[in-house]
Amino acid sequence: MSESNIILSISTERDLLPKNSVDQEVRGIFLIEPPRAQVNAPKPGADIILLLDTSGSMDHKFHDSGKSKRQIVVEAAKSLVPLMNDRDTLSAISFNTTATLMLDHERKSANTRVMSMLDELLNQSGTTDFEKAMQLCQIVVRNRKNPVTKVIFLTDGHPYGGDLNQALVIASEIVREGATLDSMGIGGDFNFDTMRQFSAFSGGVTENIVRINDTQNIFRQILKSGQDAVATNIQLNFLFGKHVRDVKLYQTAPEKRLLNGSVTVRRDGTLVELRAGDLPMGGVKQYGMRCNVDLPDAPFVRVADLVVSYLDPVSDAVRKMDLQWNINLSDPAQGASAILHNSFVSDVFREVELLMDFENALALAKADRLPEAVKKFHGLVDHAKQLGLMEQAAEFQKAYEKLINGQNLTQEELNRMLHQSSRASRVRKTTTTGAEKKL
Amino acid sequence: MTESKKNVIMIVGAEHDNLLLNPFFPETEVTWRLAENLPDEDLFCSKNPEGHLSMKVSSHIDGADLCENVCTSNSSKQSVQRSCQFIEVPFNFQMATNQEMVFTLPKAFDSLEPEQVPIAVGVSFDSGLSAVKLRSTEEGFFRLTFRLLQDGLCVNTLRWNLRVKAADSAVAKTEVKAPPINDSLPPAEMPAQAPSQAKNLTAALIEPESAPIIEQPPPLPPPVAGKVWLILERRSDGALLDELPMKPGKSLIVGRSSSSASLFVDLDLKPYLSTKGVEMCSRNQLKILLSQDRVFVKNIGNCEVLLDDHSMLTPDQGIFVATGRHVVVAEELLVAIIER
Repeated sequence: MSESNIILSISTERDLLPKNSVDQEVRGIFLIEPPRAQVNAPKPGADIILLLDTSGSMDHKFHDSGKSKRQIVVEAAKSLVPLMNDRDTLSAISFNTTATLMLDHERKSANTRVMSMLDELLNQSGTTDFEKAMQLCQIVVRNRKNPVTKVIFLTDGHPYGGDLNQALVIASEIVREGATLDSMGIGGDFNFDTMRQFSAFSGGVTENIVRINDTQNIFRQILKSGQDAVATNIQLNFLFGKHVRDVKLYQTAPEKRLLNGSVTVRRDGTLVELRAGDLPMGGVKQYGMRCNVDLPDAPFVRVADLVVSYLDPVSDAVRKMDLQWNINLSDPAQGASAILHNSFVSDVFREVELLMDFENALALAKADRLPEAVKKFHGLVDHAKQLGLMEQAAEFQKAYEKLINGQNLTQEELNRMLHQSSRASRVRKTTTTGAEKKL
Repeated sequence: MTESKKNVIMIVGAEHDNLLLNPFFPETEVTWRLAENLPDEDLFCSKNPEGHLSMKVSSHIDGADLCENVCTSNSSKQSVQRSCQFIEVPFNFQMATNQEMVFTLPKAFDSLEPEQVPIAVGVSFDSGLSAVKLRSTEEGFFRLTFRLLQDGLCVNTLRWNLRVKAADSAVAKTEVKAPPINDSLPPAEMPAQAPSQAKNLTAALIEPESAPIIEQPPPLPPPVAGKVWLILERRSDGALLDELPMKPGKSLIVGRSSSSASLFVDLDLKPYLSTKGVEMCSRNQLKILLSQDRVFVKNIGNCEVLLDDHSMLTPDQGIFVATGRHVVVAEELLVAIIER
C-alpha cells in the first residue's frame, strides 16, 4: 500500500449465504478513500475554473441580505485569490446569452488583474445559455496548467437559449478530459435536478445556496479539495461475473444518485464503467452495489472484480488498484442459518431508497397524478423518520400537506428537498486524516 | 336422448373447457345442480340456450372422485342424475422430429376437429379407434387446439403445448391408450367402479409405461441453446398478447404495472386482466431469469400461480423449468417460456 494514494474496501450485506442457491440478493458498499494524512506531503497545483451565470436575474436580491446574487458570487470568487498556492490558477467564464473568458489560468501573482476582471462580472447581463458556457469551458479545460482541474458551475435559473442536452454532452466530455465538475444554484429559481445531472459525470457535488456565506464556503472547499487531491481522473471498472445479474449501482457519497447509464451487460458478465473525478485528502467516494448472485457448492464465490485507475497528481503517473468482491458461503446442511448481516450497508441502501421514492413522488406530482403523489409523500415521512432524518421528514410532511390542500410545490421547496435527500449522511471511513486524529 | 349423451367426460385442468350435455335436449327448461366436490373458487360455468352446461375447472381434481351433477327438467319435474368421469390430460408434450404419437380417447367422443394446428404438425383422427395421431416434422414450440365432439356438439376443447426437438432416429412411434368407457349404462346407474376406471384412464394418459412421451419435470432441465422468450397469451382463446426476449444478466419481472417505481415490471399484465384477475395478480408476481443457462421462475408475489403440470408455485417459491412450459397467472393469462 505504500505506493498507493488510495485505499479500497468493501462491506457486504448478507455474507455467509447458503451455498447451492439461486438468485440471492447481495448488496455492497465500495469505498475509495485516501490513506492517513502525511505531514509535508507534496501538493499538486490546481486549476480552478469558475463557470458563472451573469444573466440579468443575478441582479435580484439574495433573500434579505441586501446584496444581489451577483455581488455575493463575485465576493466569493475574490475570496479565493488569497487562498491560492503559487502553482494554482484561476479561470473565470462569464456566461449569459454568450460566454466570455474573463480570466484564463491566472495565478495568484496577478492579483490586481484578477480582482479587476472579477469586478467586471458585476456589469453583465443577458439570458442563460448552458451550451455556450460548456463549449468555452471545454476549451479552457484543455489548456490545463496543473494536474488537478476543478470546474465550479453556478447558475440562478433555468437554461434559456442553447441546447441543454448538448450542454450535458459537453460536460461529460469535460469530465472525460480529467476535470471534476461541481454544480450549484443560488436563490430559489434554479432547477436542482438539472444541475445534479452536470455534477453526476464526475461524481461531484450539487449545492443549493440558501445562506449568504454558502457561496464563499463552497468555493473555498472546492479550492482546498483541489489543492489536497491525492488522486485525480479516477476511473472505475467493475466486472461482475456471468452468475451475477440485475446489477444496480449507486453513488452514496459525497452525493447519492442512481448510476443507471454506466451498466452494460456483456457475454462475459456485467460491466460497470464510471468516472469519479478526484479524491482529496480527507475525502471519500462511496458506491452502493446491488445484484443477485447464483451461489455454487464452494466455500466462497466471487461477485466482481473492482478495478480503480487514477492519475497521481504529484508524479503525474497513472496507477491502478483492484479488489475482488467475494462472498463466503455456508453449508445449510450443517445446521442453523449462518447468514451475516451488515446494518451499515442496509441503512445506506434505505437512504438511497428514500431518494428514489422521493424522485418517484415528484414524477407523479409533475404528471398530475396527485392522489398517488400524496400517498407517496405520506410514506416518505414515515420512511425518513425511521432513518432518523427528522429534517427531511418535516420537509416531506410540509409537501404532503400542501398537496393535500391542492397547492403546488415551489421550485425552492423542491430544490431544498432534493438537496437534503441527495446529500450523503452515512459514510464509513476506515482511515482518519491527521487533522481528524487531533480532534 | 341418445346413448352417447349418457357419458359425461370432464377434462380438468387449466386448459380444458367442458360441455355437459342437457339430457332433456331439445327441451331447454332445465336447471343444473353441481356436485359439492367441485371447487367453487376455480369453477366457471354457464348454461347455454340449449340447456347444456359449459364448465371450466381450473383446479386439480382427484380423478378418483365421482362427481355427480344433477340436471332437472323444470317442465316435467323429473330429475336425472348425471355422473361425471374425469380424465386429466396434461397439456405439455415433447416429441422428436418425425415422431408419431397416438392418443386413444374415450369413445364418448365421436369426432375431433383440429381448430388451430400448425403446418409443422400433422394430425389425424381415427373415429373407429377414437385415436388421435400426431406427427411432427419440424423443430419448434407449437400450440395445438382441438375440439372434441359428441353428437356434433363440441363438448371439450383441448389445448396442448407441443415441443418438438431434433431426434437421432428417423421415425419413432409411441402410443398411449385409454381404457374404454362403458357406454351402455344409463347415467343414473353408473356403477361404483366408475371412479376407478377414471383413475386408470388418468394414469394411462399421464404415466405411460411403454413410452415416456409425456415430459415429467426432471430435477434440472437441460440448458437452453437458443434465445429464450416470454410469450403472453390469453388463456381462454390462446390469443398472443405480448412477447419479450430474455437476456443474460437481467431478470424479467412479470406483474401488473403501478405508480411505484420500485415495483417496475418488464411484462405488464394489467391491460389484459379482468377486474377479478387484477385481484389475483400481484404488482410484482413473477421473476424469470436465466441461471446456469436454464430458466428459473420465482413467485415473488402474494398470489399463487399455477404451473402447466397443475402444481402451484407458492409465494417465494422458485423452480427451474424447461422451455416449452408455461405458468398461468390469475387464471386468465398464460406466460409461456419458449426457445427460438
